[in-house]
Parts: sequence; C-alpha cells; structure tokens
Amino acid sequence: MPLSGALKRIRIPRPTLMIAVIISMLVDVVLNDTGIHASTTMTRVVTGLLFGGVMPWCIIPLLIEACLQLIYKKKIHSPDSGV
Amino acid sequence: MLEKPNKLRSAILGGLVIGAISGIPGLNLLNCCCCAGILLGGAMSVYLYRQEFTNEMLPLESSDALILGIIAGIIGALITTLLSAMITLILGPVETEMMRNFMEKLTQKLEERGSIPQGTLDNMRDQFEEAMKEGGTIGGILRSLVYSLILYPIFSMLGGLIGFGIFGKKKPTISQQPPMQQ
Repeated sequence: MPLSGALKRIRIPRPTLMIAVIISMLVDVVLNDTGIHASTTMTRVVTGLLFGGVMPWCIIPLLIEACLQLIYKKKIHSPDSGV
Repeated sequence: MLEKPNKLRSAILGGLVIGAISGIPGLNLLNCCCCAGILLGGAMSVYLYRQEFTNEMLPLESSDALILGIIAGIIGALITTLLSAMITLILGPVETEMMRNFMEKLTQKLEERGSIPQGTLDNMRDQFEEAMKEGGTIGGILRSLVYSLILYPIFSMLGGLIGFGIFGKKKPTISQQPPMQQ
C-alpha cells in the first residue's frame, strides 16, 4: 500500500463500514434469489468493489499482526531465548 | 491478569456452524457466495470466544482469532464430510440431483445467451457427470475431505480475522464498587 501508508500501521476500518459492505453484497444476492430484483453486472461490480475495497484493509494488517504475534510468542517460549 | 479462556469450545461451535451450512443440501449453496458459510463460522467462533473474556483477563489478540479460525475450519471440514456422507447414505443422492438441476439451469442460461461455445458446454456437462459419479465412492469422499481440510481452514481463518475486526475490541465495563468505609 505505497500510496496510503505502511502495512505495519494497523488502522482497520470501522466495524459499521465492514458490516455495511457485507450487507450490500448480501442484499444484492438475496434480492436476486428471491426474485424481487434481478442482479445485474453493474450491481455485482459495485457491491464487489465495495467489499473488495474495504476488506483487505481489515484482513491484511490483522493477518500480518497475528503472524508477528505468533512468531514473537514462539521466540519467547523457545529454550534459546533465555526467558 | 488471568489467563485467556480455552479456545476449543468456541472453535467446536464455529466448526458445527460450518459443518451444518456446508453439509446440508440446499443450505450449502450459501458457500457459492465467496464461501460465506465458512467465513460466517470462523467469525462466529471469534464472537463466541470474545464473550468468554472478562476485564481481568488478557485482551483478545488477532493471533487468537487466526488460530480459532483455523481450528474451526478443520472441525468444520470433518463435520461437513461426515454429514454429507451420512445424508448420501440415508437419503440417497439428494445433493447430486440438486446440483444436476442447478447445473442444467446454468447451462441452459449460458446456451440462451450464447456466451459459451457448444463444445465447452458439452465438456462442462461431461466433467460434471464424472465428478458426480466419483462423489459417491469412498475415494471421492476422501478426496473431498482432503480438499476441505485445505480450503476450509483458509477461509475460516479469513472469517476469524473479519470477526476480530468487527467484534474484536471489547469495551471495558466499569464495575461500580461501594465506597470503602474507614
């Protein structure tokens, strides 16, 4: 993410925003399956872009943070660490 | 500070959700949408785990969500395979028929639109029939289990991280204690 900041900086999107993008995609699918409103390429692209535009900002920093935590814990508990 | 609660209970419950969604015919179509059922199970396991925390415990970390998601995915894969095999044994090939109907509708739509050449559609049908024939055998079930054991933990882990992003931070509750009398 060179344009907007380093990956180390953990600033995940607000939960309300994440829920909103998940719901927008679900609404598109449910309305299509129930026959209320047909899902078009445009609605799929828009809802998918919203979901794909928000979720990586949550998943990738948390994944990196989690992996670092696991590696750090392993180092602390290893016999060579002296802790 | 107290130790964190045991992860196994929440992971088993998350795995049960994954297994129920992915194993029951019809309900498993939810997984056509980005493996939504598996993501939901992973997120649910994190939500349930977070409920077990008290203010005196160490805080929930993203590594906990990652591990919970992976464990829930493994349990979910085992339950899904078991449930699918049981449903096929008891009710017969219900799922196969449902998938066949779904596939027929899909190919019909594609034929009407003319977006895919006829040869490709025939190949799709042949491959589908072959996959359905293999699905009922022990080899097919074992192959499905291996694929599930690879894919489910990955998607469940992502679900766990999304769940951590949504429910992760628990606001500390201020306990009102009576003033000390001197």
